[in-house]
Amino acid sequence: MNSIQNLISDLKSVVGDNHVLHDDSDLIVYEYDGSIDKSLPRAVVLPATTKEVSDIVNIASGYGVPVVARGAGTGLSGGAISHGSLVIALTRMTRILDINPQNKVAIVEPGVVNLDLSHAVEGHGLYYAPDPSSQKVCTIGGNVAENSGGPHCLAYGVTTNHVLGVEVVTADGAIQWLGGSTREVLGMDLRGVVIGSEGTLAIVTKIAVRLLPKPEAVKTLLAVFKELDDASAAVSGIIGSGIVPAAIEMMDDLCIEAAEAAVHAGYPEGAGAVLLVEVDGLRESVEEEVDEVDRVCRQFNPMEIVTATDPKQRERLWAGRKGVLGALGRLAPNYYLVDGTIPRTKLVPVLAEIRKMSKEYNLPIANLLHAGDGNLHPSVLFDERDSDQKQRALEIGGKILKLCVEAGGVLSGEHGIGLEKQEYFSLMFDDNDMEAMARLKLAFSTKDSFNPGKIFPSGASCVDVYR
Amino acid sequence: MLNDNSDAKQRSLESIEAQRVTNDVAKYCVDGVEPQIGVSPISVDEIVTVVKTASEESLGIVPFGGGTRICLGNPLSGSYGIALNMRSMNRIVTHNAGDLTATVESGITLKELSDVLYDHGQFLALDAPLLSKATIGGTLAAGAIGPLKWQFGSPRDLVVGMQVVQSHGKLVKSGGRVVKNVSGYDMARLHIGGLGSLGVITEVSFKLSPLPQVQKNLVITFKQLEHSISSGLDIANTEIMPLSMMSFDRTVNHTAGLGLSTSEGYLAIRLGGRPRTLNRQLQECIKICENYEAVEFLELDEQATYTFWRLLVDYKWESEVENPIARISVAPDQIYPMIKNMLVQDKPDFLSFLTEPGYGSMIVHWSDEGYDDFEEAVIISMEKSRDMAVNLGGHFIIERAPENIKSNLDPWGKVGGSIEIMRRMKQEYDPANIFNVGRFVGGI
Repeated sequence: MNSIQNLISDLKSVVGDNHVLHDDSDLIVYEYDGSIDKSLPRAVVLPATTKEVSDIVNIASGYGVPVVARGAGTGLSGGAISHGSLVIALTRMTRILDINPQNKVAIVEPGVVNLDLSHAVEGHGLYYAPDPSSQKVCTIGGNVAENSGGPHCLAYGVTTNHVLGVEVVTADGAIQWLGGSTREVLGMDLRGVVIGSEGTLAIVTKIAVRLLPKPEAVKTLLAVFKELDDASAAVSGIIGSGIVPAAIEMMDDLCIEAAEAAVHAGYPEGAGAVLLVEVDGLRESVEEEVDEVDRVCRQFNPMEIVTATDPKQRERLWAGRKGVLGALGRLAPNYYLVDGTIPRTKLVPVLAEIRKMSKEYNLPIANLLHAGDGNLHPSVLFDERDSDQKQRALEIGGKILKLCVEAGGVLSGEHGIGLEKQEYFSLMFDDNDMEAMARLKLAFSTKDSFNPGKIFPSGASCVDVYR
Repeated sequence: MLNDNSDAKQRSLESIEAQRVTNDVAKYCVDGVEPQIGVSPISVDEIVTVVKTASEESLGIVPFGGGTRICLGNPLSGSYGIALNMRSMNRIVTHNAGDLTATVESGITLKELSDVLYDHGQFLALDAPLLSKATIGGTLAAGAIGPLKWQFGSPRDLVVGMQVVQSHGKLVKSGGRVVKNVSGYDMARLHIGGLGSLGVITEVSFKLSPLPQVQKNLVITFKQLEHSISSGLDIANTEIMPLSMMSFDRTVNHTAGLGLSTSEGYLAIRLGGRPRTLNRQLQECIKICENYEAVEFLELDEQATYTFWRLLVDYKWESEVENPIARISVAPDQIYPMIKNMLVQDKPDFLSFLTEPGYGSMIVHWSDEGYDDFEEAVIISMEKSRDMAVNLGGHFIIERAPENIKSNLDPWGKVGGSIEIMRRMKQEYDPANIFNVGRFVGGI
């Protein structure tokens, strides 16, 4: 038997014959994630327990085979692309192990789907705050790897602000908790560096998360503007007024056109931008704050402002925003969704610059933004079959990221670096910075055994630390 | 071994003006040990120079902010060549008011920063004790936290970017200056609460909050301490969401001079928001407290509010007698059971408690009034409390204690299996072993 067959048989002895996949026809489902890249894994193993994860890590290490942990594969930066590694799919570890309503803490396995957790704790009047757009399918384990955000992270923070502790398997197969179920940690905050480390430092096998009381009232305001700049200015106005809404989402004319065609959201003709603002909390404050948001928006020539408190009506206001990514398919066969963050005061000039790029490269760009925290998602529309278009789309992506960094922002607001942005990493970080980050891998003893070839630029000098 | 004073000073600091180097080092004493020299750099370049030379010469460095938490941690186990006084690094690098972010040098005090932000209707939710002295860098390194964390999270949730000078004078940055960011590892996490074990924090970027339109502050008196904590827990489990909430006992009221009528338990609640909402929040808090036989409700006016919270947060941090202080973190519903167990065998007034119901943390003070073998009694009491906290899945940190106590009892307690990763962190980031040698967990 060759070594791959030996590896497979060893893995089968840990998880059983049914939970190791090695035929090309089975592997093909695991060759991609939500990004542009694709690559076939060497094999896929689906453990059911932490102990099995640890055994798998030890076996893989014995064969010198790197491993890539994977949740639902919804990631947008190529973090789960395996490049011939062994994929550990955590989608069988789906138990919610404990819900403690008094202390507002839950302990879950990594394969638990984000929205399923909120549903499970609903009866206690609680919910799990981070809400990535893929929350119906993405896993909490994957959220931890990417430090995922979501529309409502403006007021409540991203994954790292809601995870109290993680049980991990490190590259030497050891199992330990980093942090725990209490709010403070003892010693270095290793939990905090593992969150958002894109699966490169440790494999997370249990997660203790903080739950929040469900807000008493929620009110959504939709404001339509003729000019994109007016909508941007309104965002700055809202932030400047001292209100921190739960969400401020923004869409430009192309998004509106797509959303209108797909879900008939009912936006007026000639709409250049839509703002969706959601405020939650106590009844009284929600009323007062939405009035204030309304007042601010009216200073910037809105075409229309609608508000809703009833869940059904709110859903209708959100329909356009929630359906927009799917709807972009009506405008072009493919889109490249770029993720970057800028200071909220720079929305107007940065969006103007992105429009210029669109003209220069002759490719439409639909702008979708978590505007409240300055997190841009320009989507470059192209046709993959036209290699020149694809090339231009990727070039625009790079230019947009550069623009974000130059405006005082960062390369990624919530999708991570992965494969997608590793070549741009040096826009933000110099050799010293990268070396310091690379040393983290040494301290976790992973070198390149966990999710190799991600985050850092290929051939970066920081790799010198692996001497 | 070590060079002598003048040699070290010469080599290390030839590019730094003499006026910023001092031999008057008594004020930099750490657990009874004085450094060879004190240096007060005015630029990152100067810090780089100092750290570079110290790395080469194996001179231990203790970064010094306001010195308010210098009592934290194990006694130094290595050399103490240089006290790095960061107080001259006190500029606000940028304050982007429209974006609710600020980048500051680490030697600025909490008060200096908060005064500037206040003028823009903003604040940083970092209200550690002694804010006129405590610096941003020291507060973050010590993981010192105040009651505002109740609503705004711990300092870890407020920092969006950091610049650190590491071994051999390498200037390293991570994060950014915007509020949402997942570009690269969140390295700042290692330094927040890391007691300067891996480098010198030089610059920090924060997310800020708008000041609430109106505030209301309520202090409620209870017949029993348990009732004050239970009320707080009940409030924490509603959607009222106060800014801060602290319960405390008779000793705290008496010693801090809060002037409340004598009783066993108190709950202080800070509410912020819009006027109509606040009235409702206030009413609901009162209703919950009435369920626990609250005996007195006092609403503080603006002037009294500031003084009251300062007295409470600064409680005993500035006292001349450095009585022992510990911080305990356990699940919220275990706070009172712990207190009850801690009190069993002890005299009244030996222990006093400030807790944050719903957050799961408390500060414990030991007072020596009328105690003969005080230190021995404290050690026994601390050991017992630590066992309880650990058994409940939490931890117990000695924030301040005389050397006699700290030499008998590890100020941090056992970290568990992850200590090996922390040791490797130290080896990777401080191979010359110069930063706050031995003071952090596990003698790192």
